Amino acid sequence: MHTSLADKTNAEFFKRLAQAGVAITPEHKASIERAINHITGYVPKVGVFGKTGVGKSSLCNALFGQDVFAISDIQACTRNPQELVLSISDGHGGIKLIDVPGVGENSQRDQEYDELYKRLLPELDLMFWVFKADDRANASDQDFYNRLISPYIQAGKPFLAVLNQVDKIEPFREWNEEQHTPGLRQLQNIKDKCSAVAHFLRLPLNQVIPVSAHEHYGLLELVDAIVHALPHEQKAIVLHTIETAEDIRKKAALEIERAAVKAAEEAAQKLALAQKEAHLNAQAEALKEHEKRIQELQRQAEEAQRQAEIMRRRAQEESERSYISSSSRREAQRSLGSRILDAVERIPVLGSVVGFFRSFF
Amino acid sequence: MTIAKVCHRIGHISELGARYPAFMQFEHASVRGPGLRWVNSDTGAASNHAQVAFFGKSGYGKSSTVNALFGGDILQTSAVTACTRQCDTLDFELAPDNYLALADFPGIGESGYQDQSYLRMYAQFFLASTVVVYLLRADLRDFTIDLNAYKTVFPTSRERSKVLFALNCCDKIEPTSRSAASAPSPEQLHNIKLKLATVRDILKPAHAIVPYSAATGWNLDLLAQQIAHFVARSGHVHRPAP
Repeated sequence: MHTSLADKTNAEFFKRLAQAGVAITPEHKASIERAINHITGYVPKVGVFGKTGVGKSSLCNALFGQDVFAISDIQACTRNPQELVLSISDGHGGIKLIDVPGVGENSQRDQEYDELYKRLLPELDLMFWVFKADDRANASDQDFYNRLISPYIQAGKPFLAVLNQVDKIEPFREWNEEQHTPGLRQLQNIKDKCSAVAHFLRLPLNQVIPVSAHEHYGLLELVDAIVHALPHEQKAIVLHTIETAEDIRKKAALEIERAAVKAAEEAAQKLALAQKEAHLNAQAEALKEHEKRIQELQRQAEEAQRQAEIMRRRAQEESERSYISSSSRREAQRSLGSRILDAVERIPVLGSVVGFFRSFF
Repeated sequence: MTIAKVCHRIGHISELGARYPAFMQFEHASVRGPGLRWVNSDTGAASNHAQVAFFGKSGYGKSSTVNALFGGDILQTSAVTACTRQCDTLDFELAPDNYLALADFPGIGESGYQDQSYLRMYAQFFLASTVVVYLLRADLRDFTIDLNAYKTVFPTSRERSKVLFALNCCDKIEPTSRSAASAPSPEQLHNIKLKLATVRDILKPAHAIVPYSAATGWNLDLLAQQIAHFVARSGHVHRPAP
């Protein structure tokens, strides 16, 4: 089920971070290494969860310093869990990161991932849920968190909330691109967002880590939080009674629905049989002929509808294309307009220059 | 459970018309249609409102879009928390007792959000709206909530025909740049095209989707023009005979 990419890894984390311009104090490095050395006898597994498009794969790539996970600007591209070993320092200590497909794409996939998460969660030593900092429509996150993640946290499994893409939080033009740090108002908004997330996940504030994978911001703090949150020895935390009251209620509702559907189907079948008999009695041949004609007309109508739909979509595509191409034309017109205005303003200056030359003659 | 409509400012349609000439066609027009008559709870006075309702998930830029169209920060916006708890409107007088309203709707999909009961209430309110501008974001791709909301609030093609989809935050689609340029780069335009096709496949809107950015103002004039076009053909606004 898992795609193993373990061979591709092993870029040394600190070296890379230093190359990316992140200052690491020796004390900080030593503290992380100490924590790593305490983790003995097992390779911890960290599951990276979150909504689709929040940058889970980008975050994993940033931690590894190379593009080992496929990412896309538009499409969801992680369909199966991908795992990779992150080596923190030479020789010892590795952490297995599992990039899990994101939720919220549509309800059918959400149901599939529901099952996947239920299978995956028991084998994890640490879970984290990634948010996009400038997205506050978090109902999908909350739903998955409450149903699947939260019971494990209560049972003692370590958890971190990661606020990704903090460089995109408003006012997003204030991010300092040279220092890779947030502007003052951004910093305040990041703090507020961390509090908001901590509040609705019912977590202490220090378990919410703001990062920007793209800007290499907060990665050291994230690794620090990971290694300190991990248990020193492997602890198996498996929920045996995952079936909650809610699940039981849902199951019952589903069964009632199924029974109702079955009853309706049976009734419909009986009705169809009765109708058939009646039809047979009354001019069976003529009826058949009639039905055939109706079917043919229906088929024609459907075909016409299909054609109309195709034409409609083409027209939509066409106008959307024109929205994009006309925008640059309108931009150009605007700048031409301002050039003409400039020219008009210059006329009195021209007039006085002409006057100046006239005074010589 | 009801929705309160709170008017933040009453102006004249010529204010909008000065920014977007397409709105001038509604000057002196009267508003007629089922559910478009509102009573002021303070004064008891009744008036007719053709409503342009902005709908979408929390943080998708409903208030910012209304502000950008109006040309001033009249509705409160927030980078972090949801701020719209009621339906906030800006009313523009067309003729005495006849108004065009820009209505900022409560956002959907926040944490703690009770979808089905809210959505049923919204559906009622949208019956009394002339145009619904449904906002999406170019830089996000989760659609579970939008799919459910669109199906629940606009169940048939009759309701869907008055929904204008608009794709906000086109300046934040990758690859982003922090320069002040208002128009997206060629690479961004390419991604915007792909995004429009994706959204079209997922939500199957009745009309073409308008890509724009409330933050930079890119394509805002096109959005205004499309809104005016939708209002004009709604049958709710009747221009006086010349």
